[in-house]
Amino acid sequence: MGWRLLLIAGALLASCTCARSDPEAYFGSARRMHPPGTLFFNNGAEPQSLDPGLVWDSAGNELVRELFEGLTRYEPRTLAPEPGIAERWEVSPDGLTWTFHLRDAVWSDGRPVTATDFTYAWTRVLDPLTGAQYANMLWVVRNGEAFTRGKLRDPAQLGIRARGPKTLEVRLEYPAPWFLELTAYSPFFPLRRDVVERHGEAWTRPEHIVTNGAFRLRSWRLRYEIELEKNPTYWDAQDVALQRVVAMAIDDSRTALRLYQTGTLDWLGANGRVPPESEPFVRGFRDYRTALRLGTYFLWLQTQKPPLDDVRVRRALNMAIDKEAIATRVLKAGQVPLTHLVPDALLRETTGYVSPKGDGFDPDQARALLAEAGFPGGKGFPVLHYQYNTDEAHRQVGEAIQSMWREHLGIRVQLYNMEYKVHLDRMQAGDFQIARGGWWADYQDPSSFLEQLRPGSAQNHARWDSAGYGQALERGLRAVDPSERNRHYAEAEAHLVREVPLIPLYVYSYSDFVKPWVEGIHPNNRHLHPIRAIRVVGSP
Amino acid sequence: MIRYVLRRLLGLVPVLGVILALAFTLMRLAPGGPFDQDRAVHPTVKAQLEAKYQLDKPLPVQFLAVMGSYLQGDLGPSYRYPGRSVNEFIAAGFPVSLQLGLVALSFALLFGLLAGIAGAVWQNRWPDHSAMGLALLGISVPNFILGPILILIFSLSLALLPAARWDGPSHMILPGATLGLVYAAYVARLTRGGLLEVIRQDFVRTARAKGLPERLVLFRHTLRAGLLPVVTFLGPAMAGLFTGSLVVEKIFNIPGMGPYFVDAALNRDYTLALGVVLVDAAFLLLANLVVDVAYAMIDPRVKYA
Repeated sequence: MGWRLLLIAGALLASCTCARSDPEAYFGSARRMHPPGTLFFNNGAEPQSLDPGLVWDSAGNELVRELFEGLTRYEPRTLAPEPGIAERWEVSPDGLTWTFHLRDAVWSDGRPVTATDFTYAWTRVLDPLTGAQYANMLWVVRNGEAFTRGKLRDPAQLGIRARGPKTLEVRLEYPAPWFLELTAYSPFFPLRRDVVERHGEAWTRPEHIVTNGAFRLRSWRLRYEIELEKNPTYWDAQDVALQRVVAMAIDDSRTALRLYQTGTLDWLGANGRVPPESEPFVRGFRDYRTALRLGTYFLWLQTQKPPLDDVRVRRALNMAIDKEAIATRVLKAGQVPLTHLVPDALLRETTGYVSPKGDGFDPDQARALLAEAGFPGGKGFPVLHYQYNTDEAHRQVGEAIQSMWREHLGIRVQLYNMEYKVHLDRMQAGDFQIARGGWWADYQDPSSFLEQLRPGSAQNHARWDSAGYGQALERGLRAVDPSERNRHYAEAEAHLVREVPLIPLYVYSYSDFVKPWVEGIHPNNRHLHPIRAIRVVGSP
Repeated sequence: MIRYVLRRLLGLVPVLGVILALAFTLMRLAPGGPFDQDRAVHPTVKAQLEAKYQLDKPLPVQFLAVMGSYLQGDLGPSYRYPGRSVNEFIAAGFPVSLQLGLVALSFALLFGLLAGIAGAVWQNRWPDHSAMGLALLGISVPNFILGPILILIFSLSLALLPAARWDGPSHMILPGATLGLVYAAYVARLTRGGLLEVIRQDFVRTARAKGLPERLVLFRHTLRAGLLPVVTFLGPAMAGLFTGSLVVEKIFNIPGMGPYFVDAALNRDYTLALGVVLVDAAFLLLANLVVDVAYAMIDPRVKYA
């Protein structure tokens, strides 16, 4: 009740402050508050950690990516991997052995970055004793999984080897064309063994940390702000324009928007968001940005329990949802409806992948399928339980679907709002019928979406077990030729759209605000904007 | 008196123990754990994490271990923020919440007492009606409405004060007012009521009969007795004010203790949540003790053996 009131109040406030929505106007203060070379942005939350091996939240990753650098780094416009600490590399014809040649880069204390900094860091993440939650990201490395599971104890058996101080050889379990994207990601960053061992868990504090990225850690005020400063020893320091970056931990999106409005924030930030109730009022401003995100919003269907164990019922439910209406009339923030899991339009340029089309909105066909399954007109169909984690948008989507299913199929749905951890717990236990889900890709490849439904995967909340899907996925994973890979993945996804273990609803979008004096924040499908490439220019 | 206070302090220990045991049990009854997240963590890694934090031991053993480290002043490690201790979180957040609480308390007392005294002195005349009208408004408008309205007026429209953050005295005014005005409203009503009750009593009439000026009657005799209800209210209110406000600290992005409990509970950061319960409960119990002692000092009729 309280929060609903708050929403209304927020909407009222937003409407009175932003009534003058002129397409030529900027939202709020267009006068720069901060000295040259500084950037203030909202990082959304207190980072869980700044340890590249342990971090898994987006607030932490955002900063770790600027403090450290892996073999590769993201090109700021396309996010394609480009040489980072590795100057160049070779890959064997089977796609399994990669040899990286490191450049003459140094750490912030002046010591050279060596291949053993990588072998140490990767082994540490894979070591079960470290308790790294992203250990499985490194299972692409030969024997990585066996090592984490404790089946293999000798780190020398891992597919990582330093062949001299500047040469790193990596052997993979399967040819992963996206491997160079992974090496630009936190768990793959190098670490200084001496620093970690000397200071233990406190090694990431400003007084101890040694970094090799574009920035150094200057100060850390718990749950308030983290300050970075340019790292003069970074190999590409001449291309880093910002001298100082302040990342604020503001978790209330309305507060962040107000601070942007008054000019305290230069950028709303990749982990900030425009409050949904403010969207309609702020869309027209010149500094408003929006783009699609490589992520899908969908509903998990528990396929082991009746009545959802019947594929006809699952298809009927899917075909009775008007996804276009959900995107354009309920959410209204640029989302695009989907009939399949992979947002292939966003991947076409990088991978050429095309998803097989799934069933569209077809209430007649849906009714026919439901009747065929033994529930003509919804008669005798049990009340369905639909659960979502607390969020205004999830509630609205749930209510829209509830009314569509009642109208088109004559079935009743009970909505359950749950705290996030309870929602997760129920899904992991398989103790649900329909659950709101979503997935954001870690790299630009269909497999990043499809792998979660691999038979037996802990992520496969649908408990859907399709041998055909698993085999197609496995063939895709082993294929070296790109078009052959795409063919196998399309075959896997065809199983998925036919059997509907989940109902894809739409492609995520994001909204952002960037002050006119901030340059170098390019729209992209991961809402990922390397800060080293950002520059602050004179006021308009 | 000193013996009374010591006896009460000793009595707090078992009460705190019971509160902590209850909080501990309730938290563990909630489904989900600190290491559950969107991307399923591999069972080996999860087991390793649970072993590291001794979450694999039976609950009573865990509870005793927690109590043992509490006795040594160690509130344990945070589960969500590896490498951070609960002591660190409380040391960072508590002084901020305390500052905010003091500013809010000043607002509450300043406006509350003035309005209450005005209401009692000019009973049923316009100062009374306007003061009590405002007080009613103050009680009815929740701070999550008041805060954004104050920001809208003083930050976004007039650009006089910062819209949020915690970087100096100018940042304290709006959150202090937001948090304090509700309390001011209560203080005003209690002050007025208390004074009106006392003003009709014999000892006040005696004071007037002695020929004391009205000012002295009010400040020396009436206020002392009339403020007892306010003191009763302020004890627990202060405990609430000084340990932070979830809503106000979120709206103004203040790095205090207010959001700790809810955030920790949602993240299943058991140690942090329990540490906050300890601080909050200790504060509340102490505040009540202070109130009882204050009674004896203000009201000559109250005596503790």
